[in-house]
Amino acid sequence: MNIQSSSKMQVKDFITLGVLNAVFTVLFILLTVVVGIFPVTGIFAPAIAAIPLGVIFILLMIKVAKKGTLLVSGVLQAVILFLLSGSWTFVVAIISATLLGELLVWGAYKDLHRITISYVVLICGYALGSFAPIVFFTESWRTASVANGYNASYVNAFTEILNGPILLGVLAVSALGALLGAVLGKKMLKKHFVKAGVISGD
Amino acid sequence: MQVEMSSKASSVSLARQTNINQLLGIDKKNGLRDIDPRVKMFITLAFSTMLFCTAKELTILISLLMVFVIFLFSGMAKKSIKFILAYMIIVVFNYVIHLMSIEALTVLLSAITYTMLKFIPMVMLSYWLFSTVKVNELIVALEQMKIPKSIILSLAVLFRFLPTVTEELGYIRDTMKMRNIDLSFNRAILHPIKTTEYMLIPLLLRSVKISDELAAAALTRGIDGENKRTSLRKVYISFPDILFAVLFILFTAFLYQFDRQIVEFSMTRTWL
Repeated sequence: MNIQSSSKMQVKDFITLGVLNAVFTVLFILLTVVVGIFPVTGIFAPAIAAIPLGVIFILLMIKVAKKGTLLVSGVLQAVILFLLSGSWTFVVAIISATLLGELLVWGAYKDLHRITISYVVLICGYALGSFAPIVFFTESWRTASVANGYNASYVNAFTEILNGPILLGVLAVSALGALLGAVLGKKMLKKHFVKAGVISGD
Repeated sequence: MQVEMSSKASSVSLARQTNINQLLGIDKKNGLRDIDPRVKMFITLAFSTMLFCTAKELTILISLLMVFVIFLFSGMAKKSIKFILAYMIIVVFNYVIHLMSIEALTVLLSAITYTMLKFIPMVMLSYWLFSTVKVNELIVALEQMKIPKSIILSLAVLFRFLPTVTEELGYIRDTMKMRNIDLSFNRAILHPIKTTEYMLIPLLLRSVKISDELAAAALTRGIDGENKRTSLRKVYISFPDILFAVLFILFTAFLYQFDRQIVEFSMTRTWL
């Protein structure tokens, strides 16, 4: 077997990525379904989901810590969410967010500050993917949703709540949620994972 | 050896049949369960896109029946009962809400029930996809499509691991109950961070352990070898697969068109 430089991903890393992204996606779906029952709490779904998911994200980034970690994760999450929901905006938003994140962590894959920023970008991508069609194509979204059988007043409530400035607010709240998640992730990393020997403590 | 294993596991006769076929090198496909993984993924994508773009209640019902037929031909009729029961309960619930006719309640709840109704066929078909795709066939199929190895391996592991995550969550809940740790909704609201920690840390530690074991097992079987992968069972898109895919896509397109027709009809009705 050829000894490759450790900067390239090995089979072990691919498997870790598959497993941890499965956990990430399942928890994301569970949390958004629970939080998204009401329209008002629904806009904060990415922000709330971001807090526990931060732990998984930080663990994933520190455990693998190689070029392409974020991009492969983004592709995997996008594939699963697309198979489940059929929403194109999710795919575009998540993959571009992870591309940007990949550039942000370039070269310093264990730098916790950079990982935090890339996590904020990813969660903003999730928020954009969920709500951008409602804000930017309001009319077509409204007519499509009403035509699809959604109750008209529910749809109107959604479009009234969500507009340009509010989307910025939602993005800000999501970013805040992501920051909190990253802080929680760092705490858990020190408290549990280093102790359990899952990752080295340097 | 495979025959012995399968009889030991006393699995259903269908699975045993498949194993015997594999042993004899016969590539007989067993109903819809064994169509090519690429075809499966393609029709799932087409189907969920269609449901995402359209779906009057009638369309949802028809697509549910469509998925039920797929389950039937895959020998999974028993597993579809849960989904269909859920659908029926929601329909009845929806009806009761409309009978009560309280404006605010109807607006809120009907949107929720509608979303749930719409997601049932999608989740059902995704369940079919995730539970019938065999990981080694998926790897071979994706390799034939020249997708980078990083994506193939992670995706194959991800597919295999999705059902395991919910299983592991169940084990963790059981363990917490055994240790008398309160799991109620109130506690989750009052101590969100503690609850998260209690659920998430064991889940992640388990997952990391499983991924290490998987990696060891895969490496022993030579997954990182440079040679081309072989498969006991031939992976190819056969004529019946194409036929099924074309029929399915045609039906999906028809449903989409059908859905729009009803919309136009009901809109003209409201205009008058």
